[in-house]
Amino acid sequence: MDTILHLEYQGKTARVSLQALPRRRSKPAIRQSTTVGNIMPYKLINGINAAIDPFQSKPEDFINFDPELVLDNAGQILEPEMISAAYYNPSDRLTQEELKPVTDFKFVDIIYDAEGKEKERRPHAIRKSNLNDRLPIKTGKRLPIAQAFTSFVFRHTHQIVHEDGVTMEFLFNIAQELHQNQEVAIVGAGAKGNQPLVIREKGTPYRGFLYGEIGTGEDEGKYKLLLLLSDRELKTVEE
Amino acid sequence: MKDISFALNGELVSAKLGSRVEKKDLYGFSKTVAEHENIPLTRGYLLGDGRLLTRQQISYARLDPEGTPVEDAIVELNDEVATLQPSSFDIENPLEPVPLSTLAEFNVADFYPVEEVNIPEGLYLTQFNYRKTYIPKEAYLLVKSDRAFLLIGEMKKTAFVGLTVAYDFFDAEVEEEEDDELDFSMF
Repeated sequence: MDTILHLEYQGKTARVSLQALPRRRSKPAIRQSTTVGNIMPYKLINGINAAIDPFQSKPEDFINFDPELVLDNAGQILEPEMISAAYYNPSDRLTQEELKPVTDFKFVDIIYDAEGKEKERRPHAIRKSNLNDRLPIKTGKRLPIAQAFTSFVFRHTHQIVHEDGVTMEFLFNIAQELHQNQEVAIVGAGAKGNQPLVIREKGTPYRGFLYGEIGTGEDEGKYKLLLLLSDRELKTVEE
Repeated sequence: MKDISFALNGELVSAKLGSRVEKKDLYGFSKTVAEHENIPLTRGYLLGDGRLLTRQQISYARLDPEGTPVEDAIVELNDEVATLQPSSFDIENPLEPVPLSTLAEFNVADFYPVEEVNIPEGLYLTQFNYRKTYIPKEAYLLVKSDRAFLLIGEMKKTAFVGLTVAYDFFDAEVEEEEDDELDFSMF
């Protein structure tokens, strides 16, 4: 992933490159098989009659017949390209032939509190990436590294790299200051720099933290500047 | 709380593992639903021939090339027969002290509170499998002054960069993100 990050630091701004990182431990290639051959997962029609209303049925219906089964297409394998999502009204107790998708609908976000109680309803919001907007991502408050790493859960790490000599100096200075002070810098979007970061279109919002290191020995003159993303604190419900 | 054991410098360390801390228990959650005239709709599957299937009508099965459902299979990792690793609750999980800054490269997927752990504050490398598995998960035990947490996730590889940037180092697959609709309200 190569994303442009518009970053502000001590009054200066620059557009730099935000890179996704490879895993340290590569994912093994998993294969499941029997003596016959490789096993594959499949989605298939199971033959259940979803139109039946168990509360309207009588015991003798199930004794004498099998109304819960519709075996015409049972076992049919469904390839991904055969299926698309559709919405229907669940209260329509219609026969299988008459179960129809609803075409005129809207998406609504329902917000629940920590107890599961509904708090708010609003039209579905589609988030856009805010890393490369007209307003840069601002660096703000500093936190000691020990406090940051023991207070927040970091879900993703990206590395910020330069595009040319000028941006290298810009990023090197940020990494150097953070490394020398053993701090992380909180970063945010928006005019006040207090909005969460959205990395990609329709993505999850995260709080951002900058972590920097300066190389020594054979890495002398090099830097490492990481963007750490968090969506929760390291605490339990009771705290 | 479940009993869990660790091994630090050859000595047994007993502790108790709490329930996984879910983000929705801390901050709440949101759900996206489809509505028609304020009536909530249910998602189904539309086939090419116009049939609409409900979720209850679809099942998942693991089939061999002859179409026979399979329960037990031979599992291979990188073309070698894999061995089922024991659950972390059945073994003494090794601990190795590492610098706290290691967490800068560790992406946490889940975390659990750990209680009654009696070792010095710091970060310890370990591994964690809630159940038997072929691929143990990377984990760290973070011991703070007042409590401890077991962090489960994945280490990322970073690199110092100089004037020349080796972009092929960053040629990583973009991971699919879970779509979380809740606006973050941590602060």
